[in-house]
Amino acid sequence: MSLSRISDEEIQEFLDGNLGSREVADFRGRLDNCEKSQEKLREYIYLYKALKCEETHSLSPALVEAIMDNLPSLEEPKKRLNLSFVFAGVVGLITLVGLLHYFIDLTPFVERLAAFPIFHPEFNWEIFNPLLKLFQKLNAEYYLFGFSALVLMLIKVVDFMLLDPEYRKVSH
Amino acid sequence: MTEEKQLVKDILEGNREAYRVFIHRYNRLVNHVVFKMVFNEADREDISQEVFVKAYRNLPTFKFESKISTWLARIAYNTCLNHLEKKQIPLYQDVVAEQASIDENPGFEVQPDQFTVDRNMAVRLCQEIDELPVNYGLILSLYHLQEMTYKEISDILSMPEGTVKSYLYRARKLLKDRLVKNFCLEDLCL
Repeated sequence: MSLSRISDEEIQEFLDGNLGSREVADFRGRLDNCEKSQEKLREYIYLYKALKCEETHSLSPALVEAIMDNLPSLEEPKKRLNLSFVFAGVVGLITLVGLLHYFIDLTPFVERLAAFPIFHPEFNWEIFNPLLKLFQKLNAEYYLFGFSALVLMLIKVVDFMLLDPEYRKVSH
Repeated sequence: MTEEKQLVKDILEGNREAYRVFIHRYNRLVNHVVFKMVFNEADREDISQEVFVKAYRNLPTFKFESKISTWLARIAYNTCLNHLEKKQIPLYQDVVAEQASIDENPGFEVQPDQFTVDRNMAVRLCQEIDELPVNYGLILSLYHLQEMTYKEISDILSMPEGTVKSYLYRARKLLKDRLVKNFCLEDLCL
């Protein structure tokens, strides 16, 4: 057991309850043999008690009303497209397709897909003519529209699959 | 669902009265931070108001990864820091106070008759704490009055737990020495 005077730090550790049982026993032993340490401990005990009854301030009712009056409207959190999630999503999709291609014979699936009229070489694309004419009438680059729509759909799918659930759990 | 989560859910569903409950529940915490960092009365009210409006605006992004009290105290701390920066008030004027000896920096003198008349020692304690470096006073309040852990305080102040512990130790030692010099410590606990 060390009989040196107890330091301020040790007293604070003791009062904070950070000492183990052996350290507490050592602390008490040294305390019994040192009046100055006992005096210091007493001072710290008073300080700790005083800190518990420090004056606290509350907001005035008028200020609470002012806060309530100035509250903005609650908005949904802005969804930011996290590029790392998008990258992980794309890599995941490519990996999935690669694995499917490697482990599963996709030929029947591809054949069935090829049987869809739209993929048939003799598919009559003229059924889309009215739509194409409409875009031409609008003097619009319809393929740009199509591409944009496709990109938007892809982003929406990625957003829903990867990001949306995370944002949903924020508020609930 | 905990009471805290239910309260946030009610607020997010548009129940404004729930936010009044929120304000009443956390106003002491916000005031502890604001009063320890800002000394101008008028500014304190403005900042407290700003903190609660900011908290309301950002509540939809709160993810319950920490306690609401820690999150709110961090908003209050950062708002106060911004205010101090805007007003060009140095946060670390404290270094001077810390280095000065107790004798050189006696605080306010107490006359014997004044001592017996004024029994509101809690106010005196507050004044002594206000004499301490800003971060010291704040850490003392968060630890002793809000009963926060080192980890929570370190999250609020964005400093390592070891630094918080060391500041707390130095703050208590500095405060004790000042109080022993200026007062009878027993009276502070009346």
